[in-house]
Amino acid sequence: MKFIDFLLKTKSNIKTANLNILIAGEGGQGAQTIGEILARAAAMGELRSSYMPHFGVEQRGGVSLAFVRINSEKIDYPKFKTADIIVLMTKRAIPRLGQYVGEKTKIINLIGKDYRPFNMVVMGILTNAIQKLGLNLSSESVETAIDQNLGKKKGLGENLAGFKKGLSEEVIAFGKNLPGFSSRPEGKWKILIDKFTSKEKKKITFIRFPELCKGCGLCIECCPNKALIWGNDGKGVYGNLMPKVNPEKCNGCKLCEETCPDCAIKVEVK
Amino acid sequence: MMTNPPFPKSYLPKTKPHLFCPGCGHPLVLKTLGKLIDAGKFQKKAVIGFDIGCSLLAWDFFQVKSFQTHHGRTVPTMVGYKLAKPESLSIAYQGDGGGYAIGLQSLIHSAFRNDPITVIVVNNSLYAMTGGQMAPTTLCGQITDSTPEGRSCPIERPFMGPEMLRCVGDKKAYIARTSVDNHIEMEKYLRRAIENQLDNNSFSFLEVLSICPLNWRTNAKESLARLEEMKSVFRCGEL
Repeated sequence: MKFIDFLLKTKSNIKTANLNILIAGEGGQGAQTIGEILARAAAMGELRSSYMPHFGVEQRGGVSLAFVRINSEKIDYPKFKTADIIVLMTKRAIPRLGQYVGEKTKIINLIGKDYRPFNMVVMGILTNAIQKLGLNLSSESVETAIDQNLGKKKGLGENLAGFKKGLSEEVIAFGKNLPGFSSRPEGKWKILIDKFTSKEKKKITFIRFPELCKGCGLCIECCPNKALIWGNDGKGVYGNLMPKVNPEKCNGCKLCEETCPDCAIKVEVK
Repeated sequence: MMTNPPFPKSYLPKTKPHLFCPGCGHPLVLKTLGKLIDAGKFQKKAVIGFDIGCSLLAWDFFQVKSFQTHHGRTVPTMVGYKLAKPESLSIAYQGDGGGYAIGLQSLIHSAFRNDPITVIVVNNSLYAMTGGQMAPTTLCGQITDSTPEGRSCPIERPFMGPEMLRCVGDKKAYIARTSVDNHIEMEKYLRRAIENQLDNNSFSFLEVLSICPLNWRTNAKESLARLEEMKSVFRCGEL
């Protein structure tokens, strides 16, 4: 540091801004977009910012972390040891986060929230939280950064509306502890069962596994009797809708069980 | 009441749900392979090498010796394994990038030498894991991440792997092409491919036409329609 800077620093009583933000999502949630927009918006004023992604190879699912640092001083390295804010968007990220939780870390838990567009509402909630912590991050610069990020793509209105909604959303109470995470105990799968008698008098047990169904819809396309339609009686692996059987049309042919890439359907016929 | 999903016995349940995208064709091929491993009781005998690309997401899919190899080098690795353990069922599992681009040289020579291994190439006509760029098998006019205006059309046809291997390969080699929407044919051809290795100590190759709803940006119906389009260019059958 130059001598003059050292003098200015010791004489200055301006609070230095310094925030380490970790956005923890999974592939497809838009966590990286939030990180990039936040870093760009923060740097539009007098603050400095950096953004560094960290993710695996899975195109969907997996873990996607965005490291954002906002500082009034020069930033030495884009990652950090301890996060000041963790934005938790998926259960799958929890095992990766333990090392970044410190005494003063604030955790914004968004698991299970059904906002649309998800990442823009989260952008609003995060901006609100940062502003409440006293940092000079203006909502206008975030809106400009959102516009820049979209570029020629459509949907600016929808995205800005989501951002505004997030800004005014009750700030999720800051938690101090990561929620518990346990992988499924060996052998116990969650199931949804439909039992019925088909038109041909067969007794059919139609079982769905929400912990496996990713909502691809191949079964709906492949059913020769058009007996499957999108249901709303539960959520699958990515919070997706799952198909549901129409007992009046199903004849127990098991083509859906054969077709499912995730083995999420089991049909028992007596 | 404990109900289990209809996994083949050779599946490793604790790695499910697997890491493939919704509607991916890979798990359909892997399910067929799993059923054949069950039926032939090959769980101890089989060894599977996975290439880099989306196929690598299957490295902990089965309760069968599996490992990952360098990109495009799955075939020579499995040849080496077979040389060391001739009684094994040695399977190389690649995408169309690993098989026909970076790994093409090894593939051609393996067929030429009639190495007693089984190669499965899952063809979705693009490089999926890196974001959907053009591959050798991208159709003429197809829009991909690196051909935003459609693949240039002076080319007469995209890359025809099985046809090429039939010309180059030993006549004892089993060469075929099938697709993920025909599970009966897929099971039949894959079984014959495995038998060609175990019973005839010869090379076997199966290209499987597959779907990629993510990079194609298609829903289930559109993905299957696109697959039909692929089948009119890449003919299924035994060569």
